[in-house]
Amino acid sequence: MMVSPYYQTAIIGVIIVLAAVLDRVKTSRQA
Amino acid sequence: METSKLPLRLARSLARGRESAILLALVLIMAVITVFAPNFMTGENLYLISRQISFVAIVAIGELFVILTGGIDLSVGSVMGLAGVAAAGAMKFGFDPVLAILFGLIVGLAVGAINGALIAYVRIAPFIVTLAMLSFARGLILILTEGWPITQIPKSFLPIGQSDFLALPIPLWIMLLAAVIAWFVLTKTAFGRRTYAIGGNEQATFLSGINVKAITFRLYMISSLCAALVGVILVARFNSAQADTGTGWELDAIAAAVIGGTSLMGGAGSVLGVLIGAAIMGVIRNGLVP
Repeated sequence: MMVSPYYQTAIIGVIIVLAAVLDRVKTSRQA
Repeated sequence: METSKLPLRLARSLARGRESAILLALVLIMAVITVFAPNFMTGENLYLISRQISFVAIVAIGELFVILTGGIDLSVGSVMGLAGVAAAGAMKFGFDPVLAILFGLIVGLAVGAINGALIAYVRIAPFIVTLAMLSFARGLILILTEGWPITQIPKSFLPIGQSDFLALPIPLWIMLLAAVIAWFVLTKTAFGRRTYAIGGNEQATFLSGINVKAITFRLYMISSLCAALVGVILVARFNSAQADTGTGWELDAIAAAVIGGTSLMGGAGSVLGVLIGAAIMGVIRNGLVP
């Protein structure tokens, strides 16, 4: 899959936040 | 009688303050550099340093608000770039420079609001959120500009980055204004006291009935606003908005705040310290260039 490096930079940011939000949801459910 | 004692009283209060040691360090560094580089202490060079310091100092003042609560904002460099691109883009599309400046600042505030909301209300670590925003905002800049600088900046916009007022660069005046406002907010308002309180003990502050989330949310907006302000001024300074503006500035801003005595654990730090911290960095950087 070819994605422009410019989009890659932005997508990395989105993925970091999504991962953190998912982790947050998971830990709050466990609590 | 009273006025003749004023300098003495100022000197005494400065000597007692937290900042006296770093101020002494700044003076010593300047003295050493002057010995090895005689043209360091020239009026022209000090003028250049003052302008360079002012940019880092404004970003660092914003960073101070966040660090005081024990948080961190890694996105300031990218916010600078994004705000600059937004302001320059607005002017390219024919908007009035004043509206373009406002647009740049609003973009900065919006980014700060996203950071603040994720940190205060979703309770994700500031490091993660702002690291993600660093990457996202930089990506957005590159997508919008395709890596090309935005030029055709109206002449009427340039003075805020290039002109002088009373023989001092305008960015320095803007920095002084930002510093006075930040000093007033942090030391003379309930909001400022609560900011220090959150850094001291967040749980105790919450149990005291203070809305920690709302304050944290606003602090990240303040940090991004300061970064956006510098981003907009830099467009005027360079007569264009570059895609890589602000890269690495977050580290300079954090370094300036920390050198100035701000505790990364929160609860300790001052605007004066940040200004001296930024000055130390600027002086060293300038003095080491042959």
